[in-house]
Amino acid sequence: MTIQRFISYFVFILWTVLTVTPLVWMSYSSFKTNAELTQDIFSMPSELVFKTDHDYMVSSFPSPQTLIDGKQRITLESSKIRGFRHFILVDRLPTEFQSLPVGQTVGLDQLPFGLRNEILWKTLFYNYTSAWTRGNLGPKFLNSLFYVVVSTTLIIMFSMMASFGFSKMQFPRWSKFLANLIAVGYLLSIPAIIIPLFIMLSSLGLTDTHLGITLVYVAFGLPLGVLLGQGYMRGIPDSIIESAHMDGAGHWRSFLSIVMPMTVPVIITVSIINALGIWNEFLLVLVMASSESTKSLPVGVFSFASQTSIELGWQLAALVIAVVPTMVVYFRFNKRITQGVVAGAVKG
Amino acid sequence: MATVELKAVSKVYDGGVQAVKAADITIQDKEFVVLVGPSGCGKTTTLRMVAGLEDISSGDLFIDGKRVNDMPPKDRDIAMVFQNYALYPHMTVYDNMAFGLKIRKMPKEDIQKRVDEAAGILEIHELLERRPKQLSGGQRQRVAVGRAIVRHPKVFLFDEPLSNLDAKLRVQMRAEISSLHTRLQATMIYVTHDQVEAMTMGDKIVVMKGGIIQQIGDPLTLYNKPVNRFVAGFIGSPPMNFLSTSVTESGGKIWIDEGTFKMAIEGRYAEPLKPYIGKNVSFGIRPEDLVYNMDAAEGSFIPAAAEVIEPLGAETHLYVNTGKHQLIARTAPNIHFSVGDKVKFVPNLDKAVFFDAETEQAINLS
Repeated sequence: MTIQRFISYFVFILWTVLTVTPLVWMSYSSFKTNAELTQDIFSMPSELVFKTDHDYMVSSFPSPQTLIDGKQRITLESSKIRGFRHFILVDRLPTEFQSLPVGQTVGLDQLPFGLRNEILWKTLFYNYTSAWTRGNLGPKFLNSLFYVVVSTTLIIMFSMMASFGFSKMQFPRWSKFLANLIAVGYLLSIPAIIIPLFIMLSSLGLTDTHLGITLVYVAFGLPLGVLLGQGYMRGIPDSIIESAHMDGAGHWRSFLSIVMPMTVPVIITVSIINALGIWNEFLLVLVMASSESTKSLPVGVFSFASQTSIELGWQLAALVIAVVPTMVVYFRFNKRITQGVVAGAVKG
Repeated sequence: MATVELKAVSKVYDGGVQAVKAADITIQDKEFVVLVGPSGCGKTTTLRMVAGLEDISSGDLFIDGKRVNDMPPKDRDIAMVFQNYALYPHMTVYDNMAFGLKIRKMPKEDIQKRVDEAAGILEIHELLERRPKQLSGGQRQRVAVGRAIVRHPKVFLFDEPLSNLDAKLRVQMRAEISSLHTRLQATMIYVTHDQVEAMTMGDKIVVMKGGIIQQIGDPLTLYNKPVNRFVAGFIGSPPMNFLSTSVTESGGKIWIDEGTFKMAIEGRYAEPLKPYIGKNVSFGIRPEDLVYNMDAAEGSFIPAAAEVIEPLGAETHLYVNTGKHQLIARTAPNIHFSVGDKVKFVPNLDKAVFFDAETEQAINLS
């Protein structure tokens, strides 16, 4: 008994360590510079967090903001992190700094407290701000959100409607065949049929469109929804639906007011599984999306890696940005996810 | 309220199974009709056809004189109480009852009023905010009935509503549904396999077997004048005794010969049995019509030996055996029997019923 317990605890702890370690590593590494990451991949972050008192050089690099509002700014460029620049309004600097020549070195401690603080914070989140702006992650974040919300909504809508038909409407001979046919789709994965998929979508003119990508996600989400949904709905007594009919509800009304609310556990399960899957999905968008306006977050993360250079720090920061929403969802619905998956499995 | 009329209504399922054969039932306004029969007799199918939950294969169904064969259930203005209550688990009791009214777009105040009224009748005011899960079986049953009441439908249908309740509660709810009928003055159709429920509740009882209506009548007619052996055996508890006998004539009297005894038939059956001389008939006698009489004259009693004695307090059920048939007799509680006692029972021939052994139909008295 105790040995079994020991073994199971050992396995659980090992499993936890295996899952959590990469997350921890990713989190702290996202605060390291590219140079630090290339030198030692496991070391603690230092230059962006602790050793931040390095010098800045006045640079001739023009401020993009000045080009817009015409206000005078001085450009300070980090001597350690290549390309890390601060554009500071001249008014905010003490008078002795206002007319520094290009090439002059300035120590961080020479700057006024407020300014210094601001620069320190910017240094700390250097990877994040860079990833967000250089990788253009804002629109990609919204795209990811769009794909997740729209696809999941459609998946739930259609799969539950199909499930209702298969499980509660009277065409016994065909319902099983059709339901199984859809369930077979669960065996297909996007990578397996990515080429025919691309040819199909391009002949429809749907590559590089939100519609095309969403349609594929919906198609791939339906089998699981139908599989779990109809299994669950079969468990709902017919008499409840008949009772709704007697109360004056038609098919549509009894579906919306009676069956859907009763199927909430499955709806949550299917939603979470699909939403997480679509949020993390990479290949389809990589292949289908050629313009910035349709790319999603995972593709954005990938864009920091090219053949000539890899910005590891930015990439890790982008990864953290991509992972945080899923973590939030997981911690918020922790109980429902475990419950839901089990409920779907047992009752389905 | 409404009348319901079934004219030669039949139901044939896809597999060719005929569940109901040419059922003719006329239900008057405000009548409480009970469909009763063993499981698989087609009573529930009949009810579901009235509800519109099953298609009618052939025949016509009229509600209030209007043919409704092809009308969907939601337009028939019928309420149904299901065996498993079929409450909506995600709604409160109030919402369960209000659902049908909301669908009919009734104003909120009216819904409130109707639900209050129904809750008052059923004494479930304090349950209105609860969910079905938090209710006991009896309470769920009340809510299911309440859901039907609020609608003020033309016809109420009950599909074995009491079979999931324990015995005590069943008796109580039985009385409540009966008084509800008196109070609402509504047309009600009630399906049960329990003949006691049928007898106690129905104004009119429809006995079914194998999809065929055996007899329609008020409880006492069914009890006293069953048209065939099935109805006679199905109605009444303990059930009627049947003895297969042959009819003979001797000394100007009609006799029945059971094999272990002979008995002279006098009174109302003497004439009708004459055509059966030399043939077999089934002699049906209810347990309470067997009179214990040790001084009975020769040829007027059934001799038997006591086998099982069931003292119930108010009466004693005595299982006796003639040697060929086992009989049940209801006797007064003050007579003491012991197993093995030789007893004599005089059947009350004015209450006895004879059945043709082949057709199992009751022999006409005319």
